[in-house]
Amino acid sequence: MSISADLRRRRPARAAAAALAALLCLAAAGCGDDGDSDQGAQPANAKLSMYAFSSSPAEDATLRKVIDDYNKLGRNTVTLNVLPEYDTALQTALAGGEPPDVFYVNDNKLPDLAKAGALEPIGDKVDNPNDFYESLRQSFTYEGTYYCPPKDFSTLQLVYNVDELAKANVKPPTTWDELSAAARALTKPGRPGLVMGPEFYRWGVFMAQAGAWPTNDDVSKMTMDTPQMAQALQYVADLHKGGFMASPQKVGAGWGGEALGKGKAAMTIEGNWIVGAMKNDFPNLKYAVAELPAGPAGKGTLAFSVCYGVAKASKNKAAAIDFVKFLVSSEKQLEFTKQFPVMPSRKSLAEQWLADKPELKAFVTGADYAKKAVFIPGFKTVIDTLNDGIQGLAAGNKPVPEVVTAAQNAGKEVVSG
Amino acid sequence: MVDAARAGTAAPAAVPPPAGRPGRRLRRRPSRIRGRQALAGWLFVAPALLGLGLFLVAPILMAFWVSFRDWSGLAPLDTSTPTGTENYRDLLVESGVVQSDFAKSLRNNFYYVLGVVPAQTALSFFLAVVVNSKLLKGKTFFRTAFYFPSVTSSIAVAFIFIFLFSPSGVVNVLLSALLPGTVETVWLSEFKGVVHTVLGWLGVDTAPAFLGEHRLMGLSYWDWLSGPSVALLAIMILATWTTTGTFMLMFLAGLQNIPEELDEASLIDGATPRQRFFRVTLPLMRPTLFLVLTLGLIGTWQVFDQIYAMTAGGPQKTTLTPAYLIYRDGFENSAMGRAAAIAFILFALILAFTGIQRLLLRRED
Repeated sequence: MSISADLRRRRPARAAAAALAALLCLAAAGCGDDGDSDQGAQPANAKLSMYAFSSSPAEDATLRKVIDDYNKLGRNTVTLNVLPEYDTALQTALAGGEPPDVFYVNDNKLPDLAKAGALEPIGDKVDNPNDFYESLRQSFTYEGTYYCPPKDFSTLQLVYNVDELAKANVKPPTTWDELSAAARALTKPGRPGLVMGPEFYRWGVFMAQAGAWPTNDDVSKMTMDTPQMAQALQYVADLHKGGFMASPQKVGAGWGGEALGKGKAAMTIEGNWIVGAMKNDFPNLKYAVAELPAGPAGKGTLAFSVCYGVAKASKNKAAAIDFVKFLVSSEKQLEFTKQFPVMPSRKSLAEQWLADKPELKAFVTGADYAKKAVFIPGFKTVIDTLNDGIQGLAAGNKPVPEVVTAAQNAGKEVVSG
Repeated sequence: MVDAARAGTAAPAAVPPPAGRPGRRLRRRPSRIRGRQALAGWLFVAPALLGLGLFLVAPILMAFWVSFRDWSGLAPLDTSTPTGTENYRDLLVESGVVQSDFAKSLRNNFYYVLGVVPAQTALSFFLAVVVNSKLLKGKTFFRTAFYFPSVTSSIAVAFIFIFLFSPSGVVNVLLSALLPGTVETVWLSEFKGVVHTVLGWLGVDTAPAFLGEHRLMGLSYWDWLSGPSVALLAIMILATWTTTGTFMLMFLAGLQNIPEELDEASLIDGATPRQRFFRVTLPLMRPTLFLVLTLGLIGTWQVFDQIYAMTAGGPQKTTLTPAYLIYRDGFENSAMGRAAAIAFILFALILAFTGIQRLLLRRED
């Protein structure tokens, strides 16, 4: 007890020195991105720790390289911790009061973290903050405060087997009617044309296309009980009932990408991550990405993102912000996303990123109309209940009104309280 | 026997001291020595007590305290706010998703216990008797073979079972070969309770009015009586398969403790093998049986890893269990206080069940 109290008392002095050094460094022109500063000012080097989850070995390696680049600048030293069971590890560190200075924040975790006061609002402290997509900025905004700059993002679009569509003489659908027709045409006995996971984070695209959403925009009211919502759910449920659409589990696959790769579906609805998975697991499959069909209310999709959070309890905030600025600088962000399917969160980089992968254009286009799938603290129970209902719709044992009522009631408890 | 032994050690202390002055003096002196010994004793156990206090008692007390607070678990504990009994009320009294989820988890786990405990106990006893029989050759091989599932990592086994029960997995292939037509059941997505299924065969598809209208903890009586879902049944088979080996070893140890003379004596008395088993072996195995049942009950009420790996509470919440709910609420829903409350309700539940079982087994004496 007394030892830790002692340590706690001593730390602020060290932190203050580091912060001062970092501030001085920020003020001094020589500390910029140019290589000159290597030998230049030697400020008291702050030691930063960073927590991240692993997306793929290749991405881990790139993250390590970017961090090495930063460490070489000599401003601060960052130690990276790539953790399995990330949420649990991060939560334990936060609860213990000694969190890492910088860490990945999944967009759906942001409201909880922000409400708990775990995050330092640094969103607008990075260079050119308005360059980030507005929907992503919204994902990381809680009660009017924009907390952290997005690292990169993905959107959901329609991914299909090129050969199968050509053989069936089907063009990528652009409306709901065309989607139904396409799914029907691509369905073979015992095999559905379209496979999609039975959860809100997939089915939500149809809600968006119908102009429906579980809550209103500022998440102050549940809006499950709208005719548009019923229409969206009924449309997808009917496709399931007809056997033209199914869950991955139903066809013996873990997720949509696997179903597509194994030929257990001709189309699926997935995000950018499918590109890496297909390259690894099914390199011979010819697939393409098209925009999702437009529904009664136009186009709609979901965006998922991760941001670089800075801990409120960090002793080296200024240094941490400096590091995040480096990470989300145009140059480093492009370097970080260039070789990967995830897209840079800065609008200005879209063209450059697309230059060598024009086939992924649909994902980028999605950013213009994507909805954030982020609600308020404690909303996870509502999503769980909605997913429960969606599983019932996919399996055909629950009627739409029952699912709507269950989610609406579950939401009322959280949204009003 | 245990009682007799305990009485034996206690006897010297219970002997009344001889009357008279010398006796009193004699009595006082050893007591002083004993006092000093007691101090030394406490000193010797102090490190262990400190360890237990720090790693067992303190965390339990702290968790109990947390169960009366609103804590996200995303900031240090001192940021939490007191909420009185709200966490418990949300779970037990106030109707809502929290309550109905908890009710579902209790229902699921109840069926799980009801299926797994008798199955694993009977199976392990049977295997122990087989391995213990004098006629069996290659005992070591069978002992190892039966024990093998228990030393395998439960997560690894869970993943194997996912493959076994997948639509194109071994189970379906086997069933397709045995039954007419092809079986394409998606076992781990089957949410329908087996009781509901059986009732469905009998023509009862929807809840009869008296079952559908009344609710207990936000769940209709009809839902309470659903029986385990097919997905849960798969996990129950897995659990039985993995734990049987351990309990078989316990039964084996118990069987080998039975003196052979007893068996021989009953043989001479003309008892049939059946009588020998039910009148001699089984009564002598009661302590082991009690141990196995108790451990089985505790273990099954805490089922977590298989669910985490195989179904994550789905399909349609039919494999939610209190232990999984603790994880979900604490680490995914940022409701650590509620998670702690579930933990204590689960603790009370296990205590109650063990107590009931103790009473039942004792009454048979």
